[in-house]
Amino acid sequence: MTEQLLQTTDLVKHFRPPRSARRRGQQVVHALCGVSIHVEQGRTLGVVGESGSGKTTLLRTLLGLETATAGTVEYAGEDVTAMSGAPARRFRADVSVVFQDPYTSLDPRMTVSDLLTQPAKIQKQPFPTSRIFDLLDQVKLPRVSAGKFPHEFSGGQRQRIAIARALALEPKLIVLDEPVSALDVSVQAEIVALLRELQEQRDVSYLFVAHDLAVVADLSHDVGVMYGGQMVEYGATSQVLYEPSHPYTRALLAAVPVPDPRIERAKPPFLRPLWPTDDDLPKPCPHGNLIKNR
Amino acid sequence: MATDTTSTTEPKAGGNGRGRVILRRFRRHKLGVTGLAVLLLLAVISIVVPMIWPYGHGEITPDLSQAPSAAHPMGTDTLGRDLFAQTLRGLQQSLLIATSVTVVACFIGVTLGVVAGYFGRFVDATVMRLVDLTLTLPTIAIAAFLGSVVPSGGVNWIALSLVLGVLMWTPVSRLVRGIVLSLRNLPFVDAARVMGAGNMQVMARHLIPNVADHIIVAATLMFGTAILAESGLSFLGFGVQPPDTSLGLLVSNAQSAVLTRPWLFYFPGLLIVVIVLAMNYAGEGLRDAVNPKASLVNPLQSARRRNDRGELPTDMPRGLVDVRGLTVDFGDQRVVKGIDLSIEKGEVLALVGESGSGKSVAALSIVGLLPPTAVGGGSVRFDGRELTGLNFQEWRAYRGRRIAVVLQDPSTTLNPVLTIAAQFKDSMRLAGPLASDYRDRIVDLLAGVAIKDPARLLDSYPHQLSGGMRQRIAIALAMVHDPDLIIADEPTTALDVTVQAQVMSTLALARKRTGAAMLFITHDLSLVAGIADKVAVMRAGEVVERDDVLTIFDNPDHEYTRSLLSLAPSLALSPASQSAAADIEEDS
Repeated sequence: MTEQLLQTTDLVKHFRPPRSARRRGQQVVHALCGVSIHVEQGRTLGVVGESGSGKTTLLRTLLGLETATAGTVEYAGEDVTAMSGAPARRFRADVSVVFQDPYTSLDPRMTVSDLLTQPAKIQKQPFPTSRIFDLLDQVKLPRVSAGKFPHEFSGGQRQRIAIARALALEPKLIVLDEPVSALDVSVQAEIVALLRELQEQRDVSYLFVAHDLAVVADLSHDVGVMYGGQMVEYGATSQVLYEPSHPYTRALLAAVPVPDPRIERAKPPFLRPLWPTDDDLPKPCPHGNLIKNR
Repeated sequence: MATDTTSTTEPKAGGNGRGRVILRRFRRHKLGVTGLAVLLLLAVISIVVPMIWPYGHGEITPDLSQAPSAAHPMGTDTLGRDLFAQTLRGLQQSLLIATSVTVVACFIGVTLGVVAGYFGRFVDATVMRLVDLTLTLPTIAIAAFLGSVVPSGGVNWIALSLVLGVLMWTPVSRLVRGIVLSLRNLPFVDAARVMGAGNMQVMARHLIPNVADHIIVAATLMFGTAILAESGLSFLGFGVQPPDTSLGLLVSNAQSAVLTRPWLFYFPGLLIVVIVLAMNYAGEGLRDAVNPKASLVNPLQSARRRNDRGELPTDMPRGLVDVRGLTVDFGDQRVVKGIDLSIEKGEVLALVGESGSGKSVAALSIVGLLPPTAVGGGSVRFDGRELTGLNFQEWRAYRGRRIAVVLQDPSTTLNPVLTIAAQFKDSMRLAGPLASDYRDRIVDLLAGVAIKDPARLLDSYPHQLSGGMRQRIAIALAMVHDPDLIIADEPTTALDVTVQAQVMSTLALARKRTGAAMLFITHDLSLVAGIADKVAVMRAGEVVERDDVLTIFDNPDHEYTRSLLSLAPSLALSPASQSAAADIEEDS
């Protein structure tokens, strides 16, 4: 029996446009329409969707960077939104994040050692200098990196620094927001291999969000597919890959380029999205308007 | 010094790295160190020398209006006061006032600017209205009013610097707010918040260090202004009053005597110039020291546009594009190491390599679009003509008309202030006057890249469209002049997979219809499987393998090609993706 680490239930996030846009008739944005996910100890949940599908809002809401319009986020059985004091601090120490763009997710004015010390400093925890070298070893960066600034590294190396920072406080869950989509394919493979190795060593859980099913499938035990703020498919990776039930999942699968000229040439041209089509539209948000658009 | 309000408090909090790094970088900046040394020296002189100098600054001697001499090195004024003693006193007062004004103004400006930019909404609105209000205050009238209420003998420097600081904080706060607005949405701020950092921590540890270099520049400018502003206020009766004096006051008093007793004007005037210059250099050094990205060497110094070309090939060129021995250097670094490429008419060549392999630079040098610091060499022949060494006018016959380029990021390649139709019009005018049916032609071009209902799109702006739509428009724009060669530089990197598939299909379709040749650049080998006829694999500035697309995928020769193939993320082995593709085929 695996331990349930993080769970969202019917999470809803609606954004009200600024007043000037509302006057022009812009409607409330339904970024999340009742999304439920769960991440277990030591396992990986992959969430796939294109830009605008709500996957980033999902992450931001469960990390507390946005407040949910409705629904709950539970960490180790406790409601995250109601947390304060010691449990809230523990949540911050237990859950860390790696963002998409390693060029902007590291403060350009901090050295690598400052960056790696930062989580402990914020949490007011002791952090011996030797720990910096441990972390650099774990992500396979040379120890001399400690005194350098982020701009002195390549994209892949910066993502390693971001991963080292995420590991600093021995987290139980690492949220990965498109961690490889800004990187070259060869570097992507290295980072994915590193993430897999870290999971095996430390039994850490991942919530892995990306737009490319091929990247996510590689690392995930379970996969959720999002479209228009809704989870259109959710299940074990093999089931989603081999027996997709939703037309959008099939469209995503078909869009992944295959490194074989014969298969690629035989594919029909994708000139329009395969789903949604005019006679098969996505369902409207089941939660309706939870906030007024005045 | 004045500018240290933000930067010297930071290193302590910055822990083991930052403080020492800033100090080390500052020490390397010779001009900055000199400036700071001069300022410190002047400060010490202004404090120490008056104690041992025989004349006090208000002391009246019998020597009236004397030119500089051994007893009075800077001469005396009409009342017989020793100018050297006065200048020293002035220096003391001016340094003190300018420093404290800068500190006060920067403190108010930075605090309010960071708070406004970080919290936004009504906090921002309130602060900005406060800025507007401060800007409407008539400085002169306020000074005159204050001058009328101060006790005789002037006010002390604290009151003076508070008043000046309150009047001068607005530019700093506007500057800081603007930068913070753009910084606060960057992921590193979110990262800190996820780690549990509070608002104060985010502002002090992340935002202020990132605006520090801008603050320092603003502070050095303010330092100079403060010296002059003080003399203005003193003139109106608020501030330093005789017999006390300041450099500004000395200069403004001596203005009328500049021809008869020039020493009264030039000595304090010269000192102001020295202080402001030293302050600027010290600030420059500090600015470069706090910004780790600031380069201490000028990269453009030794840039030449082209290598000495040596022998150009004289044999018959092969195909449409024939590249021989192409090199590109950045300074001492050779990023493209003499590559050969050729593209036949109507052929698609894919140039594959990871970032830093030189693939983009190599491709862009075919249209002569190297970054300013790069130096190109070798030969590029297009349709039999040598392109290297063309001037701007000669290039125009090729760029856009015979060679079109589709770049990586569709959100920045289209001009945001022009409608879609206007961008097409601009491009069409290259070939001569606009035909009357140009809108129909644009609609045709847009329909050619599989855009539904193109007529509706003509009057929209790029920001109203999705990334995939923008990239299709960029492709349609490339097709305006029916080019012979399309250079596509990672055209789908910024897009989602589903949109990527659509844009790739569109690109293939548009190319097939016009029969143009294409140079397709990417880091993803699986992407070229469907579109390329030939593939060239680049690594570290060299082409390591170049072959037919089937051979590259079936029998890769080079180790590196094999590793690229094995690393490509793919669902190739999963039957689902193939059956899904088959399903769709049936459906359509």
